[in-house]
Amino acid sequence: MSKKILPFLEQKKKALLFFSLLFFSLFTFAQQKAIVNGTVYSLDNVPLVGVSVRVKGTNNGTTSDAQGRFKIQANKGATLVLSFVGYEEKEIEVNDAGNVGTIQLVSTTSTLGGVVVVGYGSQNKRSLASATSEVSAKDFQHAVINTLDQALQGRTSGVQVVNTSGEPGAQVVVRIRGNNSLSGDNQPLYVIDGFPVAPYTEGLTQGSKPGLKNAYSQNGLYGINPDDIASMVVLKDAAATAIYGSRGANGVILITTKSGKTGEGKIELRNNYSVGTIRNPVKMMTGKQYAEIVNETNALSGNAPIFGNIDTITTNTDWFNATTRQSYREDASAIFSGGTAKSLYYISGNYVKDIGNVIGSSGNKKGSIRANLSSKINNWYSIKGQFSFARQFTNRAFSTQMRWPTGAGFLDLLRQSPTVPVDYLGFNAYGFPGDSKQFWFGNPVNELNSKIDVVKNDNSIVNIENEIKILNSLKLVVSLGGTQNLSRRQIFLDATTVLGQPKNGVGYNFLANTYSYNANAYLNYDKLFSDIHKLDLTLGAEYNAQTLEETGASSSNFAIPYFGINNIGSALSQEISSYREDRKLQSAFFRGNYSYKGKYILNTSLRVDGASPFAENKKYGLFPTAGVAWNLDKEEFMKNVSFISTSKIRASYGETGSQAISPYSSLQQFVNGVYPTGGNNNFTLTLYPSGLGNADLSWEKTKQFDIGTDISVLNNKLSFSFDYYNKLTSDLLQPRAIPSQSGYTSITDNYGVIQNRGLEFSISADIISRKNMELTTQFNISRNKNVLVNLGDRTAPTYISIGNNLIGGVSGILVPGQEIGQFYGYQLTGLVQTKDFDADGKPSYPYPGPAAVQHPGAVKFQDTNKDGKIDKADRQVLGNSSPDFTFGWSSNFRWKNFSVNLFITGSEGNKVLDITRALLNDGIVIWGGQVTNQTQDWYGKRWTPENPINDPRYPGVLAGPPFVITDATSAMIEDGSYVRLKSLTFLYAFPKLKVVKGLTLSVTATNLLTITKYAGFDPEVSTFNQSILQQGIDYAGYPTQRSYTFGLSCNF
Amino acid sequence: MKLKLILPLIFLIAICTESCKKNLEETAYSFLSGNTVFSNEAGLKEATLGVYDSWRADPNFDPFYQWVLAECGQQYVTAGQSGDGMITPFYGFEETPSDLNITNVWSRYYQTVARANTVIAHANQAVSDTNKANIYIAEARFHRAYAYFMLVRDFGGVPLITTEVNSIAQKDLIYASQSPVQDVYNFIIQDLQFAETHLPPFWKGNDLGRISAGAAKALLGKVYLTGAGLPLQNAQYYQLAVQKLSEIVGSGEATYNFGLLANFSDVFSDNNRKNKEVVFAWTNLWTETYSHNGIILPYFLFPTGLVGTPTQTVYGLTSAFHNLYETTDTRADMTAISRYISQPSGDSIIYDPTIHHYINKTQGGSVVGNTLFSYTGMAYGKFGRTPLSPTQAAVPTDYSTDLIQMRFSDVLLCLAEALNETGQTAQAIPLLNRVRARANASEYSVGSQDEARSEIRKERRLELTGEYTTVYDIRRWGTLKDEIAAMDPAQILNNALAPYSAKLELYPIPQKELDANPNLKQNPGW
Repeated sequence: MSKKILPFLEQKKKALLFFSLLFFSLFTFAQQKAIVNGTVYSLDNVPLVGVSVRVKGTNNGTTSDAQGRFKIQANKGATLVLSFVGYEEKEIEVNDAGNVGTIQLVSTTSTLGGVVVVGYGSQNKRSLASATSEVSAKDFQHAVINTLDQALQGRTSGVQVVNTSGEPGAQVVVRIRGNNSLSGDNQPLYVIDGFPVAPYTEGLTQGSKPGLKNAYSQNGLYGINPDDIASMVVLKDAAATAIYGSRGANGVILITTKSGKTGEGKIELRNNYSVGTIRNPVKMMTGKQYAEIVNETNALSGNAPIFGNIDTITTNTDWFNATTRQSYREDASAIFSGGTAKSLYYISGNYVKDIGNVIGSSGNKKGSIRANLSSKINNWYSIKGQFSFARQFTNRAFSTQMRWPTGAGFLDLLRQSPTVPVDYLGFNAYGFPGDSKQFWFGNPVNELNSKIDVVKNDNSIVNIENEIKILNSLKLVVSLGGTQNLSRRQIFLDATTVLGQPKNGVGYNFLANTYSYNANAYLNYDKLFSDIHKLDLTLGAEYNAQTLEETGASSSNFAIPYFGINNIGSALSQEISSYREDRKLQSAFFRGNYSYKGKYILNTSLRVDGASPFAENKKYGLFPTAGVAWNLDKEEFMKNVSFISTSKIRASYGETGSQAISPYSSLQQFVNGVYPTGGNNNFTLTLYPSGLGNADLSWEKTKQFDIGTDISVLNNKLSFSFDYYNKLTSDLLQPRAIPSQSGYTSITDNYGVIQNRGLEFSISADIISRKNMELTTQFNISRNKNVLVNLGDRTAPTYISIGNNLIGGVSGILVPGQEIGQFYGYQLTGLVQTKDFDADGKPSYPYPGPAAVQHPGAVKFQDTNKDGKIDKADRQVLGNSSPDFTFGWSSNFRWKNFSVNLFITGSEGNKVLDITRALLNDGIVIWGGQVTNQTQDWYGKRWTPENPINDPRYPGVLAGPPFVITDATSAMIEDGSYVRLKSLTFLYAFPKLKVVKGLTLSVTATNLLTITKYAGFDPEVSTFNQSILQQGIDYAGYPTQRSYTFGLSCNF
Repeated sequence: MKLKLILPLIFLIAICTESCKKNLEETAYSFLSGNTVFSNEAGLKEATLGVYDSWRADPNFDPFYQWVLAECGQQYVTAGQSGDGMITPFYGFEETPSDLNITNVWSRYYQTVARANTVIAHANQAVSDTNKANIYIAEARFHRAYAYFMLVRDFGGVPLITTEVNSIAQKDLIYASQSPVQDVYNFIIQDLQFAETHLPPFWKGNDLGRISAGAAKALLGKVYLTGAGLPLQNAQYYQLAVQKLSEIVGSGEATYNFGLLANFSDVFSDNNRKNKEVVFAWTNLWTETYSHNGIILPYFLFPTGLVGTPTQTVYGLTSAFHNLYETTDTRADMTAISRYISQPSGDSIIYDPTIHHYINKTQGGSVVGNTLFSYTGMAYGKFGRTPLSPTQAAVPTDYSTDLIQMRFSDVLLCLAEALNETGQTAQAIPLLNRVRARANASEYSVGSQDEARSEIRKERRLELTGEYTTVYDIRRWGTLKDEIAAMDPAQILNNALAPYSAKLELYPIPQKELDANPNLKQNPGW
C-alpha cells in the first residue's frame, strides 16, 4: 500500500508548494475585492462566537464576533469555509450581491444528522446502523453528581444506573442492557477521549494472601470531573461495540471531554454549595419502651424482669440523632479555555468536599485538574493531548473492618441499647442493670469518631493523539497513553473500639498501584464516489498492558498507644504481604461502512483480540458484526410525506466478548506456606499447588441481535427511537465444582448461557423554541428480561446466601431456565394467635424446630409442600429484583433569563429484599449476646394479646429468631417501585454585565420527592452493588439524603 | 513527508507482528509454576513440607472436623461447657451427607493425596540421586497412605487417586469411582512398605518431626491390625501386625528412638514436643508475625479459664468415662478434666456429676457455662496447657499445640491386641501392663484371651481417647451397637440420639461429591 501512496504524496508536496506561492500572489490581488458580510448561528439560532471564516484557497481569514457576525474580503463566486470546533465544517459560495447572509452550522453532537463519536473515530449519525445514544453535558449540568456514571441515570434508554448507597463517593452500578455474566464483570467499558479506562480494576481479582485487595477506590471514575465532559455516547448493540471486541460485551461508554473554542480566552467559575439531611429518619424505641420489651422477652423464657422499676429509667439515648448530622458539600470549578485557528486549550480545576450525614470522618474530598490541548501543526498533522490528575480522600463511615457487634454498620448503630448513656465507654453489652460486663461495649459515637478508614487515591491519565492526513480521504491516527491509579487504604481501630479493644489496637495499611499503557493506531479512508457510494474504512491495531501491584501490612497490639496508623511497625503483632499481576491485550480491528446515496447503509466490523489471562491456545478471539440501515426519508416515495423529517430502520447482529477473569486463571499455581519443624518448632517454608489449571479456558462470548428505528417528525421537533434486542452470552466464565478427590474443589471454566432481551423507547421534543421561551422534554423507558438459559450440565438450583450478615442463610436462587435475581425463602402467612394451641399447649399449625419455642405473636410459615412441618423444602421464590421497566424524564423550560429543569427517574415492578427494615421490626430485642433495639413503628403496631393482628411484618415480642430459619422471608420482600423527582433546578441567568459576561444563579433540590410503597430507607438501593446474584438487597446501607444546592457560576 | 508515514507504519508493524505471540505469555510474580518448584532439592523439600502443611493449615477448622469424626461417635461423649455446636449432630449419630464436617474432611484428605502425588511425580526431576529422591517420595507416600487410612476408616472403599492430577482432562482420575476396601488397604500397605524401606529410622535437629521409618512401621502395624477387624477381617493381618510392630518394640525401640515417657502429662507438654513417645504429629506454632498458624482444637475442647482465656467448649466426656479410671491413674484428669482453677479469677471449678455441670466452688456453687443445656460433660484436656501470650489471647483461637496422631503407647497396645488375637495372650499382657504402670494404674493379671481382649480394648479407651482412634476402634471391633445401647439419651441435646443402624459403621459419602461425580455411590443405608 505504502509504495503506491508515497510517490503520489511526493508529487502532492510539490503541488502544495506551487499552490502556496500562487495563493500568496492571489492574496495581494484580493486586497481590492469587496467586503462580504455574514452571520453564523447554530441550528437552534444561537449566534456562534469565534467561528473561523476563511476564503477557500487563501490565507485570508477572520473569526465571528459576539453576535456571530463577520466581515471578510472576498471575490464574488469565491467559497468561504466556516469551521468551528464541535460543528461540521461548512462551505458557502459568495453570491452575486457579495453576501452570504445567515449561515447555520450543524453541531457534531447534534442528533439531527450530526456526527457522533464511535470507537476509533466518528461517524455521521445518519449512516449508523447501530443503537447508540448520547448524553450531552447540558443534560446534567445542574445535577449534583460526584462521578460521571451518575450522570447517566435516567438519561438514556437501555442503561440502568443504581446508586448503591448514600455514602459520599459510593459506587454506582451501571448496567447496559442487563447482566451478561454470572461471576465475571458486568460493567461497561469506559473510553475517555479514545482511551480505555477500567473503573474498578483493583477490586476484580483475588490476591494470594488474605487481607489484600483492600486498597481500592470507592468509585474508580472519580478521576473525571463531570464538568469536563462534553458528551457521553452509549454504545449498546453489537454493531457499535464489536469494534471493542473482548471488552465490548457489557456496552461501551465513550466520553468526550471538552476542548477550547477558537476565539478570545474564556474564564468560567462555578461554585455549588449543598446541604442535606437523611431523607427519612427512623425512630427507635425509647429507653422505657426498650426496658419494657426486654422484660417481656425475659418473661417469655420464664425469667424474672431485668429492669426493676421501668419508670425510673431516665437514660434515653437516640443513637440515630447522636450519630447523624446535616451533610454539606462544596463543589468549585474553574475553567480556562480558548484558542486560535491552530491551537485550542482547555484547562480546568475542580475541588469537591463532601461531608456525609454520618458523624466522624465520613466524607469525601477530591481535587482534579485537566488540560486538553490540541494543535494543528500543519495542514497534514495535528496533535491532541489530554492530561488529567485527580486526588481523592474518602473516609469510610462504616468500615468492613469495623463491627459493633456484627459489622452491619448503620443497622448496628440503630439497634444499640437506648439505656446506655451516649458517652459510655467500657465493658457493658446490654445497658442492663447488673450486666455481666463480659464484652466491650461498642459505643456507636465513639466507634465512628475513633476509627480511621481512609482511602487515598491518585489517578492520572495522559493520552496523546496524533492525526496525520495522508490524503484528503485517508488519515492515520496514532494514540499513546498511560494511566496510573495509586490507591492507599489505611484503617486504624484504637483500643476503645470493639475490634480494637481485644487486640489492643489494630492497624491496616494497603497500597495498590495499577498502571496501564495503551497504544493504538488506525488508518481511516473515507470517500464519496460519484456522489453515490460512500465508503468509510478503518484498519487498526491496539495494545494494552496493565499491571497491579499490591502491598499489605497489618498489625495489632499497640503497646505504645501514641503510635497509630502512621507507625504500625510499633505494634507487636505484624503481618505483611505483597502481590503483582499483569494482564495484556493485543488486537487488530477493521471497520467497513458503506452507504448508497445515504439510503442503504451497511456497517461491518471485525476485531481480533488476544488476551493474556486465557489458556495458551485459547488466547485469541474473533468478534465480527454486521448491521444494515435504511433511511426511508431519502426515498422518492417519502418526499411527499412532509411531516416526517427523518426516518431510519436498522438491524444488526454481532459478537463481543468478555475477559473479566483474573490473570493466571488457566495456570496451575504453586503458592507458599509455612510448617514448623524441629524440636522447637521453627518455621520452614513450604510450597504447594493451590489449584488446577484449565488448558481450555477461553472467552465469554455474547451474541446480540438488535432491530430499531429512529424517526423524527415536524421539522425535527419531535423524535423517537425504538429498539428491540436479544443478547445471548455463552461460555460464561465461572467456577465449576469438580470432585475434590482430584485434590481441588473447583476450577475456573466456561459454561452456561445467559439471555437478555429487551425493549427501549425514547422520545424527545422541542415543544417551544422561541427567542424568549423554550420548552424541551425527553423521556425514555426500557425493559430488560434477564434469564439464565442453562448452566451447562448443571441442572440443580444454586442457592445464594449473602453470608457475613445477620440472616446468614439463603436469600436467592438461581435456576437454569428461570430469571436471574429471584429472591428465595419462606412465605409468611401471618402470626401465631393465642387460639392456635390445643389444651396441652401443642401448636395446631406447622412450625419449624421444637414446639417449645412456639408462642403467640411469632410468625407463621407457609407449609408449601403440605407435609405438616416447616423445613427447607417449604422455601419458594419470593420475588425478583429486576424491574419490569425503568424510566427517566427530563424537561427544561426557559422564559427569558429564567429556567426550570426537572428530572424524574423511576423503576417499576422490582422487589427489594429489605433486611434492614425486617431486622428493625422483628420483635427481637436481644439475641445472641447482641442488643437489637426495635423501631417505634414496631412498638406501636406489634402483636399483643390485646392487639391480635395477623401481619407478619409486626410480630409480637420474640425470645429469638424462628428456630432454624436463617433464610429470607416474605416479610423482608418489599415493592421497590418508585418515581423520584431526582432533581429540580431553578436558574436565573443575569443579563450581560460589563466585566462578567454570564452570571447564573441556581437552586437545585435533589431527591426532593419520592413516590414509593417502599418502607425502608430508600428503594434505590443495592448494598452488594456489583454482584449480579445479590442485587436489590437493602442491608444496613448508608441512607440517602435530600439536599439543596445553591450554585453560582460566571464567566469572563 | 516520508517521515510522517514511516514512523507510524513501523510502529504499526511493530505492535502487530514482532511481539504478538510471545507477548501474551503470562509471567507470574506472586506464585510459582511446577517446573520452577521442582528444579532443585530445596524446592522438592519445600513441596514435601507442603504435604505436611495440608494436615493443619488454614482453614483450621478442618483438623477439628477430622477430630470430630474420629472421636465423637462413642458412648461417653456429651455436650461441652458451652454447648454442642461443633459436634452436632455427630455425637447423637444423626449426621447427614451434607454436613460440613463430612464434606470438608473428604476434600481435605484428598488435598493431602494430591500434594503427595505431586511430590511423588516430580521428585526425580528435582534431584538426580535416586536414593535422595526416594526419601522425599517415601515421606509423600506415607502421607498419602495415612490420608487413605483415614478415608477408608471414615467412608469405606474410596476412589484411589494414584497419580498426579494436573489437568482437568484426566477424567479417569477426577471422576473415578470407589475402589473396594481391600484395594485401598493394598495401596496403603504398598506406600508404607516403600516408606519404611527408604526413610531413616528417625530424624534429628531441625528435621525432627519429619516422618521416619519407625513411624512408617508403626502405622503399617496399625493398618494391619485395623484390616484384621471389621469390615475387611483379613485373617493374615493379625500376624503381619505382630511382625511389623515387633520390629519397633523392645530391641527396636533404641533403633527407632521410641519409648514411653515416665510421666503421662509430659508427653503432651509444649516444652517437650516430638519426644520419643510421639510416633508422628502435626505441628502448630502461633507467633506474632505468622498469625493463623496456630490450631483451634484446644479452643473448642478446653474449659474456659484453664489456660486463662475464654473458650468455646463444645465437647464433653461423661462422668462415667472418668469413673473408668482408677483413682491413682495419672491419665484421668489429663484426659477428662474433673476440676481446675480458672484463670485469671482463681476460682475453683469442679465438675458435679449429679447435675452434669461444672460448678464454681469459690463463687458459691453456681453453674459454669451454658445453662440451656441440661447435660454437659467434663472437658477434654490432653494438650500442652501453656497459657497463651497476651497478643495470642486477644483472639484465643490460635494455639501452638501439636496434634499427635500416634503415640508409642498406641504401638504397644496394638501389638498387645495383635498378639492376643493370634493366641499369644501371655506375651500381650506385659505390654498392656507397661502402659498401665506408667500411668500409675494397677497391674493387670493374666486371664483368658477374651478377658485380655476386653482389658486391652478398655485400656485403649483410657490411654488413647481423643487421639484420632476411638471411633475407628469401635468400628473395627463391631461394638457400635453396644456403645449406643449404653448411652443415656439425655446426654444428647433434645434427646436426639439415633438408634443403632448398620449404616452408622461408615460415614456417608459427602453429597457435594455425589453431585460432582456421578460415578460415586452412596454408602449403604445413607
